[in-house]
Amino acid sequence: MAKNTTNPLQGTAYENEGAIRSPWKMAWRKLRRHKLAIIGMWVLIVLHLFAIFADFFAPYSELTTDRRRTYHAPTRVHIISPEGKLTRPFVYGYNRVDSLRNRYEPDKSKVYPIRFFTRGDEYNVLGLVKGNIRLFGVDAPGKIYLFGADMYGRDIFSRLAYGGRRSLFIGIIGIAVSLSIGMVYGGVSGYFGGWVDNLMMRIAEIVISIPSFYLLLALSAVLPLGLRSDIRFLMIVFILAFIGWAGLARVIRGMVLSISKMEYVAGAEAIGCSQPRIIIRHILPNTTSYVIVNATLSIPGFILSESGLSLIGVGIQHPVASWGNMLSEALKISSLSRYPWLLVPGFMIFITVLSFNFFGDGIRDALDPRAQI
Amino acid sequence: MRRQIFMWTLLVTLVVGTGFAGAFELLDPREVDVLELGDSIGQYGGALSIHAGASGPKTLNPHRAAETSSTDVTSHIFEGLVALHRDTGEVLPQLAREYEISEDGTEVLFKLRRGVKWHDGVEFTADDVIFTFDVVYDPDVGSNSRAGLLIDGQPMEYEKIDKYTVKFTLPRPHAPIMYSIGTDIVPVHLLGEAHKEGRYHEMWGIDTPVDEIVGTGAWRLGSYRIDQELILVKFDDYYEFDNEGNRLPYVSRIIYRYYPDSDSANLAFFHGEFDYKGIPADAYPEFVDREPVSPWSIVDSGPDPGTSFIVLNQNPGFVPEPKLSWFTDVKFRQALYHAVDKETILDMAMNGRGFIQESPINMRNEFFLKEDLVTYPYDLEVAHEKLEAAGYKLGADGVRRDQDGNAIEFDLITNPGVPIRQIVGELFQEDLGELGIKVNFQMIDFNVVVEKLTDTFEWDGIIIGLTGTFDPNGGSNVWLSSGNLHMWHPFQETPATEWEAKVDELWFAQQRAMVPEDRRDIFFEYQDIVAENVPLFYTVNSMTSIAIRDHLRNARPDIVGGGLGSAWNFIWLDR
Repeated sequence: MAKNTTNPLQGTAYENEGAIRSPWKMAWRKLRRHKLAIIGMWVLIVLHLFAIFADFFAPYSELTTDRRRTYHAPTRVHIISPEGKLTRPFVYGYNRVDSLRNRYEPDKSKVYPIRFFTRGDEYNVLGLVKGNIRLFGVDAPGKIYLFGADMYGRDIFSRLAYGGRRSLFIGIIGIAVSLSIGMVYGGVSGYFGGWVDNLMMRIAEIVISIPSFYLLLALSAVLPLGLRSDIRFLMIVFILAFIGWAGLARVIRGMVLSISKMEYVAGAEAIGCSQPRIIIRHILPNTTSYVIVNATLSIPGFILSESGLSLIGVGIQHPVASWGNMLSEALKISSLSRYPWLLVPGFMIFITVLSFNFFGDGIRDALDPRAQI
Repeated sequence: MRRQIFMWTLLVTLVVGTGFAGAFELLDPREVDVLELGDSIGQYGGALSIHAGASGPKTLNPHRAAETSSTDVTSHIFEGLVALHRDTGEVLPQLAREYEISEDGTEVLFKLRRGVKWHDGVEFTADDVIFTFDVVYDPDVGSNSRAGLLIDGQPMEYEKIDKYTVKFTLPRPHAPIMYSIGTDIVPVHLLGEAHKEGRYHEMWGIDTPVDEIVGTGAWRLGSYRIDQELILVKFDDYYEFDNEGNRLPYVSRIIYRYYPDSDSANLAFFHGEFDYKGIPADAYPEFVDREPVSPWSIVDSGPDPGTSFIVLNQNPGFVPEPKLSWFTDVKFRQALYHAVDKETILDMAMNGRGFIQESPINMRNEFFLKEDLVTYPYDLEVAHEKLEAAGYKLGADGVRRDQDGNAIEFDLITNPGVPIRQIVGELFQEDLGELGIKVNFQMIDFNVVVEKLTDTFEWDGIIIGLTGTFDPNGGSNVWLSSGNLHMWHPFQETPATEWEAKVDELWFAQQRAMVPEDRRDIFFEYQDIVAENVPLFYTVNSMTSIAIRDHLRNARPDIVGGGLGSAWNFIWLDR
């Protein structure tokens, strides 16, 4: 198919094929013409893979500290040896030349070649398989800090990968939870109508009217100390989702209200389908395109909320990384001006949110049946 | 007729004569050796602009002021009978002209300075002193000075001998009394009525018209815009003179400016808004970088008078077993103290500029500071061995357990916003993790931390700090086992452990010791006991520095507190 689009000679065949395409295929075709959406999509895929396989891509574990390398500057990767020859990539060892300002300078006598598929810090995959193969690394006592180090000498590049696990997936898990609640709630409310609808929508409106960030603050402050970091992560996701579902439920309810007047719903009722079956099989699928668009465009909200919470210290707790709590180190002008690499997590959040918005825009256009091809 | 004229002349002479006598004979001036404290006789005029922290005073009533934002202002408007020498910490007469302590140490006689005026022109007399102590000892007023002026819970007796003489009688000899007796004197002619009616605590809030706030100090209140700017104006009838007989102070006004955020306050200083500014530890490199090209210089002003530490809760009834057994085990505490990486904390929090703290004594008070204490250098190997020896064994699974097989794990909290506390917590958590001890470190709101510490007592470990007083007796509420800030086990009726009983005993002994060297020996013994029993894991203490504009003269930070406030009376501007 990709061949067809790039070959003008086969344009006719392409058009003919289009005539028998399913709606999903047509949407995909429209999406592919949306350049920004495709770029966004690929960026998101790369970021998610980077986070999922953090154990492999990151040279160090997120918790590995090095107290003698506070705010280590990014190590440059060289391919020209000190003798001026082209060689395999390597980094120099660095010495701290100014402990007051944490300034580091390369020591040209210490050369650490970058080794690929090397043995590094140990990790557990899903708590089952132990491994220690990492994509790249350098031999001790050398260190490779692609994006520099934070105050505790932890590698920012590695922490970006591990932090992405929380910061990216908080959006996806969060939206899954709030979508499920929102769709079922909106579906039931819209289908039954009457006083059920009235009551359910008033409850949803109460949830909407709660000032969400303050509720988040309050809820995350009551999470007990000593909660395992992954449990804490899930709790925060649920807190976020609990706030996010009501707006969605209201729109779904409106759509269901009009869909349930359709003849095929009456038909389904006539042949004796059960009410849950009608809602789930016949009505809700018609809201899919809206739901997909809504989901893609709401994920950035979750990501930003997590970052905000972690930035002020009530979200994901140190030393476990998330992009938000990594960014909290960049709060002070003095450290920001001396260690600008502390801003990298903010840049990652920016890219992610932007990509989701581009991708979401593309999807919305692609799924809109009234839009022209 | 002649006779009448004669009478009139006599009367006029008498009146004029006494008038002159009042001006020349009845003022007891105080000569300040400006050349010794500073370097030059100054010139008059100009305003001194300072950064006064994040927010302004909450009250202007010196006996209602509890936090430094208020006392930073009231301490310049009001004065006490005595004050500490800015460098030696010696007790010098202030509103008193001189004082005598009786042989047995139970009587203090103050001769008051004559001719001292309140800012509204009324003369200061012994009645004001008597009134002030009535106010301080009144529990309904809630003065911050009250606790320090009680001896074994008893107030002193005080009486007016004549207009310029007051005598204090102590229930027993109490050496540190001279450090607290210099509480701010307030005017009876303005506040006496209110105190009689039980309204003292309502007086002189920040909404009071500025003219009504009246003290005896070198500065009177000029204006106050809440949390933005406060101006103190020089009091023209102040009783201090320099070596050449010029009346002090030299500067006409002091302008306090408030910035909620430390970064923006630094920028304001760089733009010339303040005449001097204390340098926050984390911004020090930036100041150093700018110094060579700026019209100001950095002056080191000695160690911070405060302390930062980790404390483990030993309060039975509030800490559940088995935690209580661990925390009350001195071997456990000693071992854990070896896991506090003081050098790295110093490096990360203060760019290496500071001191490792080992003693509870204020590091500025070298007289009382003992040098050769038992120390607990950072060494995880030693910590491991000590834990093993004390029966806390590391299992094959990497978890350390006590004799009964309980895995060792506890919570550690602190408040956000103080970088050193976060660093201490994260490093301690990591190091104890290496030792197989799980620490759940979290930062929670400051008020919640304080509430746990002083009210609910339900906590395992806290990282916090205390501000230091110059005289070690200021630590009474921390070190006496009955103290409210005896954090690990406050309000004890009888000392829970032998060493706490010994500290109590030493503490009362130092209060009775009237000879400073005797007091020092007692404090040395106390420091040894504290170092041996490590109720608090002291961490590090920063080197404080001030950036001072070059046009300020006689501006040298004092030794007692490291500040410049004690120099305002003789600082001058050389433009």
